[in-house]
Amino acid sequence: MEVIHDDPPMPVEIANGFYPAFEQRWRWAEMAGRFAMLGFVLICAAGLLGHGPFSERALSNGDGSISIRYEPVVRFGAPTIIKFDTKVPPGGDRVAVTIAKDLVDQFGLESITPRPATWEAAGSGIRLVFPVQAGESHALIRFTGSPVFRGGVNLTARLDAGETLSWSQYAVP
Amino acid sequence: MNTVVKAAAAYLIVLFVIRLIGRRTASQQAPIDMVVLFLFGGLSVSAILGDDHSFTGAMSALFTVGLMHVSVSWLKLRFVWFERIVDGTPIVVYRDGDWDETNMRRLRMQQADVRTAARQQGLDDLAKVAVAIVERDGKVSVIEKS
Repeated sequence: MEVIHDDPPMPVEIANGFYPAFEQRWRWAEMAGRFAMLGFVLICAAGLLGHGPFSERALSNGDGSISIRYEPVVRFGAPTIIKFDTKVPPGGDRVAVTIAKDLVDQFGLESITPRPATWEAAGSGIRLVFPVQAGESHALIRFTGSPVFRGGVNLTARLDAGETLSWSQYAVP
Repeated sequence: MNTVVKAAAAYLIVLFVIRLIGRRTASQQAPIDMVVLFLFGGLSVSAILGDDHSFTGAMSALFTVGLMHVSVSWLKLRFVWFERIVDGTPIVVYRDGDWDETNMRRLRMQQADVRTAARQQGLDDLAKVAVAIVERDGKVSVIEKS
């Protein structure tokens, strides 16, 4: 391997100001790199890659029985919250939500507030029953997790007598 | 595997970010420069290892960074263009009484930096300086008039 290159003599290099053409091209690359970093920082600050003022989306199913607020783009291993707003059946004192198994496996489910009274397997999902004070028309439920997947995952949730709500979340490294 | 890929990626990203923010940070030891280097180190460690507190994880990251360093050094030896991208080239900022303000601005170099370099060389007057050059590592070389 050749390690001695045919650089010009040092006095010539100094007289020429070394390699101004290269430094001029590098200057453009430097500016492009700095703008790219600035763009990335602004995207992150806005929350377009999770954890920011514009990171949340709201979604409801067709019959309005479940509404969620969630982050479409989440960060691998970083905490994120899905807030469910569910309709309580008239006169009911509990609400049952069946969630996709991936919400536990892939979403890295860490806590549910309030705590469900019962958990049970329901086909390919998990059915959670939450007690609700009599007279309440809505129940707010928070799922907190740290995603353990990279890329996209499709999630679903539905009430016993309601349409299925589907949404997808994408985890960046 | 994951740690190895993240360590290799972090090495390249940190290398080019340091290069992109300018050679001043790489060489100066003023507080504002040290803050950047310390934070780069801390943030990189948490990004590479995350919750992996194992000895194996730390060693795999350490060996990866070591091997990346050897690889980049070899590529610098092999390809002059790669060496220039990674290290840059020297830049003249002062010649025969004239400051090159464009280069000074780009390097965020102050007159005081050149004066300091002149004094460190035992010169008490810039009139005795033929050329001041900001080297690839960010240090200022002063060549005395003959």
